[in-house]
Amino acid sequence: MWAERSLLGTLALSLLLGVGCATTRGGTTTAAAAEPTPPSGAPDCTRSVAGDTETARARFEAGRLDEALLYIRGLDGCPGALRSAPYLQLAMDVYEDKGWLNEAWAVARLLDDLGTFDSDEELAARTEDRRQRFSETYVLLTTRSDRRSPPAVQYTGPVQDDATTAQLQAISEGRGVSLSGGRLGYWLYPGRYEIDGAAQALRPGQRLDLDDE
Amino acid sequence: MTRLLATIGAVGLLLAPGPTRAEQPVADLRPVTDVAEMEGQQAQVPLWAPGASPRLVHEVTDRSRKTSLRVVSFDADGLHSYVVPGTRSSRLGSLGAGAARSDRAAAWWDGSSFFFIRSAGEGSSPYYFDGLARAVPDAPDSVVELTPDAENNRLYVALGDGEDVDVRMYEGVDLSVPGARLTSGEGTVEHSLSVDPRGRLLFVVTSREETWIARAEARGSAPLRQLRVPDREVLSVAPIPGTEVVLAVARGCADPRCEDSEHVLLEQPMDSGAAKVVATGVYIPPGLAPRPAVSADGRFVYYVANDPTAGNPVVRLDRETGQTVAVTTGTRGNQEVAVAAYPRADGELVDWLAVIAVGDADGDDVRNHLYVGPLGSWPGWKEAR
Repeated sequence: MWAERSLLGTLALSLLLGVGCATTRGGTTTAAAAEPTPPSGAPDCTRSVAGDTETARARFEAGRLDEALLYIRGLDGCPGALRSAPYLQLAMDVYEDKGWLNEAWAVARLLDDLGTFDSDEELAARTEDRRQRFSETYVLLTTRSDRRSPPAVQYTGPVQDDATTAQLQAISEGRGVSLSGGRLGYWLYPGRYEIDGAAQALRPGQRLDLDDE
Repeated sequence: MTRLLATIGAVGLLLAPGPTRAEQPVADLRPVTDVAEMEGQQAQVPLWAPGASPRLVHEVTDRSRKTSLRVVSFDADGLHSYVVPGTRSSRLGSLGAGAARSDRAAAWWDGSSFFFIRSAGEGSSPYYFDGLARAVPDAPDSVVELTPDAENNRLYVALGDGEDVDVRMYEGVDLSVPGARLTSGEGTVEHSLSVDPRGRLLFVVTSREETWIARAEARGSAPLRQLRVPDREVLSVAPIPGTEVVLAVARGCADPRCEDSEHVLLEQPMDSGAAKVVATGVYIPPGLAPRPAVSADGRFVYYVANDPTAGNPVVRLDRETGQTVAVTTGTRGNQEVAVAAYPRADGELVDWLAVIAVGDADGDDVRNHLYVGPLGSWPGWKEAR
């Protein structure tokens, strides 16, 4: 388990480096609506956390990932969502399945903090298990926070999927997660890459400290 | 004096070199499927990877006949294995997602990644595994077999419905555009695809009446060359490295409906000329015939002999001398064999065998196990865990 400092009380997106503050827009709550008004895609904290979480779950379980994502993103950073374990758990699932690994990891940390804050041992244990599996499945690139520019990472295998493209785009823009000791992290699918000019075959569960190269 | 000369002559005859007897090679095999994750499952179709250290992928079949792929490797840190996950998500993996899929027909792209076919429901689609199973974007869902040509950045794919299968060539592993169709026969099935070191594609064409070996040029532009093998049913092929010869597993008669069940190995020149039978009494397990196992230098061919009284031994054929000799494997009920060469620390290339055999080392666990090991010594192998 990584030993990041607890950041309970901050917005979810503040854990994600390089992402601006959440914005709010007017909208319609969905709690009482028979047919919920779809969110616009931008955060809207006037919406019902419970209602939109329920709708997102239904979409997600029906395999409509992009629609579920729309509802999850609609509550990004909203105070009510940050205190909702069902919302955060679903957000982690949706982000992970979408391949947005940094976002999923940031949400896992919020869940961790929520379990600690609420003294919810079951939630804490479940979150720890999820984080463990997550860490064993993907790859973490780490750098010093004072590094001048993000690492240059290119996928070198013959089959590059959309999720990998998005992960590489995030790295190129310096969007990752904050780690302990002031380090930055970038979650990535395993595979074959060229990183800062060196060929790397990254295995599941591998952590690569680029400053040590 | 005459008597003395006669005696000397007799001694001379006794000492004169006769036909040399090949020394029996010994494979230091060990089972790699006697582990908890393989409990109750059968191993089959081992396929060695290219590269610098021993690594293979093999199929695993469970009781419901679902297949998955398992990678086994050996390096300085010891012996490693893992099953290719059914899903890329850690969440879905923890929920057991992907259990209904069937993964099969792996084909190495390079020393650490491979393509394979994943079937779920009705469709069968190509995937690429490099630590994560990546669906090949926009690929057709009727893939029967595939083989990559990494050197030329190309993928050959057999597509079809089982009754009519055609081979297509995709440049740049881009399956979003229709690949060049290499075959034009109606009602034929193409299979056993392999690429030779010169980038030529070899495969078997099967019609209702006959089979033949087809050869496509590297660019795929020239017409297919048909290599006819009269009076035989060709089942699988592999190029012999360093030669212009194809090695084929074949059955005793041309008509697929004939009753002659003896299998042979034959060599077919790539350009023209008659095929030559180089081994008879070859054992082929039920199902698709495994590819012939040829050493990297093209000198040795390994096969399982159809000799139940001797436990179906693994036999090595020396193509230079024509001699055959049983390989000491310590296994019985051998089903199939695969070979590849890896460089030892001293630089010498050593053949590694992968043998599917019935039963574990104690003979207690009667299912198909996979045994692997070098032909000869390999530092650290005996102690590896």
